Amino acid sequence: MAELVLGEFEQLVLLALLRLGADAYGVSICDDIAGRTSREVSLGAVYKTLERLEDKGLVASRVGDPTPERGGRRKKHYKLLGAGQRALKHSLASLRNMTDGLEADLRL
Amino acid sequence: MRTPRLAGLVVRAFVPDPHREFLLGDLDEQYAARAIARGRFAAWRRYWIQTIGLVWHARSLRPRGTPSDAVAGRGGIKMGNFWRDVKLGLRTAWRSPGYSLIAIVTLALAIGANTLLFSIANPLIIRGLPLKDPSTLGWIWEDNPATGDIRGNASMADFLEWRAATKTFTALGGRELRGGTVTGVGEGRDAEHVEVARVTANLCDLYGLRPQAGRLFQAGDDEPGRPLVGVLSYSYWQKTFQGRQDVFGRTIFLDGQPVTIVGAMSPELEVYGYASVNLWVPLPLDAAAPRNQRTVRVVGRLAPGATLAAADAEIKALAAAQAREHPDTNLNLTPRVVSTHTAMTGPDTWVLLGLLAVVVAFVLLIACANLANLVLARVVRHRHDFAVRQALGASRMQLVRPLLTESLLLGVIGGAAGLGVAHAGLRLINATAHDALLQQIAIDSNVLIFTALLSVVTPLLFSLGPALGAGRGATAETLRDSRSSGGRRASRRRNVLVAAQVALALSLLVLSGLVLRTVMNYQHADIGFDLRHELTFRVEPPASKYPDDPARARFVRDVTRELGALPGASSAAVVSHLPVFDADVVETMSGTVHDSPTKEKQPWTTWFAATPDFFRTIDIRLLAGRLIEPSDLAGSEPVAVVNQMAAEEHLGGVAAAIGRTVRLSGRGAVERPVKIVGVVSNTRDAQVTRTSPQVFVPFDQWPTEAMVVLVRSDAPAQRSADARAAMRRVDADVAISTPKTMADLVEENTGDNWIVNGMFVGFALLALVLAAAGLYGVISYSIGQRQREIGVRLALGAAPGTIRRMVLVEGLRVTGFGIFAGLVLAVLLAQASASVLYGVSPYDPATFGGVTALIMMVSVLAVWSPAARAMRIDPVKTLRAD
Repeated sequence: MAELVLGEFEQLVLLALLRLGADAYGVSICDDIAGRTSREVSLGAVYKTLERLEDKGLVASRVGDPTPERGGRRKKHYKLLGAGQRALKHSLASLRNMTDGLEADLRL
Repeated sequence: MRTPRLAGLVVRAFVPDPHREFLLGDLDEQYAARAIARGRFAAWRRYWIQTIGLVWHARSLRPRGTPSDAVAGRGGIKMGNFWRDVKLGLRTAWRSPGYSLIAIVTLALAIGANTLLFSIANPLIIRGLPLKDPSTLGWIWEDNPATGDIRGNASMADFLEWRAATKTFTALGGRELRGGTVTGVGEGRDAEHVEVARVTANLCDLYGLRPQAGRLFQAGDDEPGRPLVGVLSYSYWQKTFQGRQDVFGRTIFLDGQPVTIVGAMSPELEVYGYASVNLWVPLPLDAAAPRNQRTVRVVGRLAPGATLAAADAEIKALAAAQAREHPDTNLNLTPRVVSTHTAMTGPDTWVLLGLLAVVVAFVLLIACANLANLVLARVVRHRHDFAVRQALGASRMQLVRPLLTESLLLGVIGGAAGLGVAHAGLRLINATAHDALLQQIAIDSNVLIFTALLSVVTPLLFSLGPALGAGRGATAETLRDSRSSGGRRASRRRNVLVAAQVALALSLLVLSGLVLRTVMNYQHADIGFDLRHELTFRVEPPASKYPDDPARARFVRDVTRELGALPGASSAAVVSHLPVFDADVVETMSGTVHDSPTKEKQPWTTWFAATPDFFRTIDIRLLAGRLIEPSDLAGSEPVAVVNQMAAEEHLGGVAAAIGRTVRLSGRGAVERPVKIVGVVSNTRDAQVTRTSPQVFVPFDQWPTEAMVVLVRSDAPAQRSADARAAMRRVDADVAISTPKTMADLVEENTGDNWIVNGMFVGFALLALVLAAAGLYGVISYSIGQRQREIGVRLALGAAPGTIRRMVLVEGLRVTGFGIFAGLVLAVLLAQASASVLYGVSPYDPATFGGVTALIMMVSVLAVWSPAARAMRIDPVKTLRAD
């Protein structure tokens, strides 16, 4: 299949999933992105993106157990699927190809 | 920990089902984590921002079980279909333009009032000075309970000892703000009066100051004897030096001392008291400076783990030791360490802001009550509709959602309009205020968030109750009776709302009446001297040119001679500092009737050094003895003139005071015996509200470095240029502050009261109009609903007058309850505001009575026309309609 083009925020969310592994859910994804990019991340944006990624078949979700610190509410866990990993790899490779030879100009 | 419940409700209303649980869980978790890390306010704020973001994103989140490609085309009322609801809401709002317009205008005024006040409170509460990490700064004030002085400064010696000994502060810095004269700026330029901030070298680091260009102070710059370096304020750099880079390294003269300019300050600090500062120089750490010169404002960075309370205890202990060691200067001095928030606001600021917050909150509540009544009326009108839809299987949420959405839409539009109202109000305040802070107030992102929040919360407040009521049962009954007026319960709810409005409006009017009386009392307070004829300005002859007392005395004689000879001037005088407007210089006096061996019980007086013509120039009357005369020279017998209060309290009365000898200290000088030769009339002190004992000594005998010049003439405002010219003739190197009339000074000092006062009165009147509109609306509505009943009564022979009385009584009964509750509320508010009132009792019967009468009058007016309409109901027509 033709490789999917990922948006910037989609990349961030996928990278967060990769890093968090089994621990990935709304708050932890939010915190990971916010902590590393120092920008405020809206939960709404994260959920919307996750839903879109799920439609594209890049991530899968499952409902966890209720926990007391969440007022007895359940978490929705997400995990990166193989297709997601491939799309991410492709995206990052494209980016790397684009920056190739420009390191000096970008002061990377 | 409790999360914001309203925000939770908003999430429940807008986020579709499968996502709702996870999102609410996430929000709660984030809230708890952030509350621990950054405090509850930050967590609360974040929760709301997230909620608003969720409402925005919820339109594209999929409801349960819908495959993604089918979302677009689905019909029916579905959760999460945000745009559909918006379109429907807009259509309903458009279809009843009268209601929508009233709602938008009401919301715009109420939200506007709240936004306006929030913008004023915002820099005080949230934004603060651009200081580095203000929460770990501690500010040290010295109070003197014996003299009633609060928020005083420390002496350099005290400060240095604290700095050496402290363990709760990692760094202590100090600053001193005062005027100075700059010369040597350029060819052909007059000497210039500038405001100078003298700061310890570490203060730049404590505050986190940044240079715009060049450098700031370095460690060691503040050691005594070092050559002075100076940092220009940004605006002074731009104005006087056109922002040129080549000024760095140049030397100018401050009070005759060479200062090398090394940098310019970044403009962001030009707020509050620092807005007027032109030049920053190091404050020499001179341990030998006399202890009774208390001019240093001390601030420190708390050590990690140290609390304000611990710092407070430590500094108090250090001060107690100092008081034991230096009882003549340090007795009674009680330092306290306060937070940045406290330090940045006046003693009454919180009371005033709190009261204003109550006022605008009440205005908002009244507006909500009005709109709730309108919504209630609409719900009742559409009761039949609701019942039918409910009978057809619509859920309660489905009935309520369109109503809520419409209200939210009106809220958002009203909020946007309210922002406009607040903006206009701020422009007015910016343009008329004298205070630098009020001049700079603007709408920033905090204000925008606040307004956005209000626009969302307000509609929920006024529409949630009635809307939920609409979804509640009794369908069969409703379906049977198509003309129901909503029954007893709805009408009782309406009456309660109106009574509450009347109560809120009454208490607000009482409060603003009391504040109005206070401002009028200030305005008419007799300060004790004439304000219309004096022109005044400040002078500080440079110490390099006038190094000693004889030189300064000569300068003062030249000044009074030149200015007294101006055309149109009847007299001129010099005084150490202005009564009423300048900070008091308080000195103790011994040898009085209350003499006491301990210094702390010694009587104290406010101290002025004045030239002979001072009393004539400012129009203070002589009561007994004589005034200061030209023959009271440095070498002759030391004399003093006291005011009536000092004579009566400390010297055994006006007559007994004359000829008495007391010992007096003044401005670092040792105690000297002086003979009281005269008693003059009282003047008020800086607070205008109280009179203090005062002593006046001849300027020649106690010359001061800084002084105030007064010129008396019939048209003081027109003498300004002449006065400048005369001062140039005396010495072109001495700068003067801008000459002002006394009346202008009063205006500058009290002018801003009108802003606060105007807000009180404006908001209270707004409340009154809203409450009257509410009363009118409810009575009209109830007449409309009771047409049939009234028709029957008329048909059965009731006189039209009886009907009118019946309607009037009904309306006024509701008002009566409101008035009673309002009076109770007003008493509570008045008690809370007692500290800011002046010259009026918090229970002032005239204010309470007047406001009650006003409310009654307005209610009669509001009820009169519906009552008259009821009287004219045609019984035949109404009965035939059945």
